[in-house]
Parts: sequence; structure tokens; C-alpha cells
Amino acid sequence: MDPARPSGATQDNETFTVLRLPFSASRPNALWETPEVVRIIANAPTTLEALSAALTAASAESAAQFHETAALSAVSVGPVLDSPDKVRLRDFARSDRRFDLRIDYTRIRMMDVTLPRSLPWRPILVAPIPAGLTPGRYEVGAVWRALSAIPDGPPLPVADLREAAHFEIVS
Amino acid sequence: MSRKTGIFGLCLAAPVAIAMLVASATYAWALTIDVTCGGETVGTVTVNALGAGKGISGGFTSTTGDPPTLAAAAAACDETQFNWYQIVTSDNGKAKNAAGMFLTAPYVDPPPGGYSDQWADNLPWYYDMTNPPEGAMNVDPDLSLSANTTADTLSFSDNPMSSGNITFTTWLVSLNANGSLQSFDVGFTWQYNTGTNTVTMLSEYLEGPTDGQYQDLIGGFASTVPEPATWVLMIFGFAGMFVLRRGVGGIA
Repeated sequence: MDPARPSGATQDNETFTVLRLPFSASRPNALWETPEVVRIIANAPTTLEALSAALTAASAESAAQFHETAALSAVSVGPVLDSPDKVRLRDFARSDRRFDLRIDYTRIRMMDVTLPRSLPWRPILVAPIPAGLTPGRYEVGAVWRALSAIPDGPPLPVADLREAAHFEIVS
Repeated sequence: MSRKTGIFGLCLAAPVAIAMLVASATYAWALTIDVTCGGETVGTVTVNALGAGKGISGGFTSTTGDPPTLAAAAAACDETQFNWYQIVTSDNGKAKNAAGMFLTAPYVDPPPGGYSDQWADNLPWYYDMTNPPEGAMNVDPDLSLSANTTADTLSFSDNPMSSGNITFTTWLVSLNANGSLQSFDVGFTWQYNTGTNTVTMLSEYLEGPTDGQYQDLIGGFASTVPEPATWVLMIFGFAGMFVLRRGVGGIA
């Protein structure tokens, strides 16, 4: 993953944070080559540079294992967007040993907008996982859905981006 | 600062690309232009048309100083900093300014205050040089000058969107410390092609802007970055004059 420039641009609320992975003129293809994945990370860093490194490390591991007391977050890398686009975590549901993130985003490029100045970026959404997981294997999935407007615009004719991973809690 | 003839860099990757180059021999997918000052090269502007959906990207890199820095390049030309000046020369007429009014080409990109979907400062330069006010909507932090400047390079990137083609002319500009214009440097023209979602017709443009490309378009912009110190000095200056007049009037 491109070692992103640390950016203070985030959207915070009590349940999630969206960081902006910016376009880099010095590595113009890096943004598009960034893997669209969901991973579980312990003690998720709050800066882009450190988070990017943690995601790269997590993607390289064959098996994600965490101690039952670890502070975990689900981290999902979204599609390439344009300057004005927005991202929102619609839902973060748990069902037994499965976590599902449903993430909405806008795609203004499909809305017949003329915008001469725009830069691409990728959202990285970070959502804390509730503490107290018992030992065992878990699944996590993320679905990114394009809407004409956030929060409740109609869906756009874009295939959902689906990501999946599994992790294990050990004693 | 003189604008000298540049060096064209051509990317020939496929027979189709070659055929297109033959048909439009003055256009390229990559451009390199020397920037000179007093007959000495101080750096180069390099821009590339990226693939479909990826826009245009490049920048101005200093070759002045050891190691090279933008500051050294600016100093060599008796200037302070650099930015870009970009105008839309034709489009489909659907771009809206911050007030929601349709823009008519030619216009400065971005217009004062930005577009209806994107904030911009009130200076005529491509990258924002002032911070947005509290609560400003649709702010993209990656469009600030500081976010696009390293020690030796001022980058330039754009990935426009439109249901119609957009043509641009872009210049490297040299600015004074207060953000006012010192001089125009080298430039290039290019087009966003909506049919292929690519940047095309990239070409060197070494002429300075005409009145129709600059003077006639900047009426709604601020001329300098507001300096807090200036306002403080003005306030104290006026206050001091008021006290002096009362003192003189008070002497019997």
C-alpha cells in the first residue's frame, strides 16, 4: 500500500472514522493499485501512514490471531472516489461470530456534475469492534454501496464492492 | 522570467497511440518543459496524461540549489513561491460556482469561492493558499498548496468530471510572499475527453495569457492572501492617529 501522507482529514463520529488516502503525483498509479480489502487490526493507528503500514502487514499475514483482550478495529479500504464524494457507515452488525459492515458512498462522477478541478482519493473506514470476544474463529465482511446522496439517496447502478476476511481470538 | 522552448517527451506505447500521434503531431501524452530565468534553467515542468479515469499529473521540479529546492528556484528568479493558474477555455456550460450559478467559459479554475460542490479560496490560483472558514462545506484538504509542495517539487494533478469535453490552459506562476502575481512561467493546454474519460491533446503553451485569459477573468478574486499582521498594524495605526489628534486638540 502506498505510504500515504499523514493527513488530518477525517470524518469522525462515535462509531467510525474515515481517513482519506490521497492521490500522490510522485506515485500516480499507487492509489488505483491499493488493494480493496477488509482487515482486523489491533490498536488501530490514527494516522494514515501508520494505518497504511498496519494494513500492509495485516494483508501479508496468513492467519490473523489476536488475544481476547486486544482492542480491535475492522478496517476497510473503499473504492477510488472524487474530491466531493462522501462516505458513511450505515450499519455495523454482529451475528454470532460474524461482523458485517455496510458502508455507503457517493459517486458524484455519475451525477452529471461538471467539476473541472478534482483529485481522486480512497476512503479507509475504521470501525471499533466491541470488546469481550470469546476465543474462536470469526468472519468479517464489508459491503460498499454507491448512493446518489448520503444518507438516503437512491442506489446508483454500480456493483457493490464486497470484502471478506476471517480472524481468530485466542486465550 | 523567460519562457523558453521546451522539450517534448513522447510516450509511444501502442500502434494506436502512434497513429494518433501522426494524426495530431503537436499533441503528446507526456510533456517536459524547461523553466528558465535569466537564461539559466531553474527547473522543469513535466506533466503526463494518465490512463482512463485517472486524469493528468506531474509538476514543477527545481534543479536549482544543492540539493535542489523550490525556494532556491524562486530566489534565483527573485520570486517567493509557485502555484498554478488554470483556466477552462471551453466546456459544456454545466459547471456551477459557489452560488450555484452556471459558469460561462473562459473562466478561472476554480472560480472565487470554488464550485457548488467544492470549496476554494478567493485567490485565482489552482491550489488553495488560505484556510477555509469554520464550517465551510466540501473542503478537499488535498487541494491546498501545502499538500502539493515538497522541498523541490510543486505537483500538478487534476481528474476532471463532466458529461462534455473540457479544455484547459494551465500555467506555472511565480508569486510574491503575499500571494500576488509576480510573473507567468511556462504553460500547457490539454483536454478532458468525456467519451474516453481520458486526458488528450496535451501540448506546450509558452505564451503568457492574453487579457481574455487573465486580466478580464480575475475581477472577482482577491489579489493577495490576507495578512493578520497587516490588519493589526492598520488598527493600531488608526488608533494612534486618533489619540494624536485628541492630544493636539487638548493642548490649550
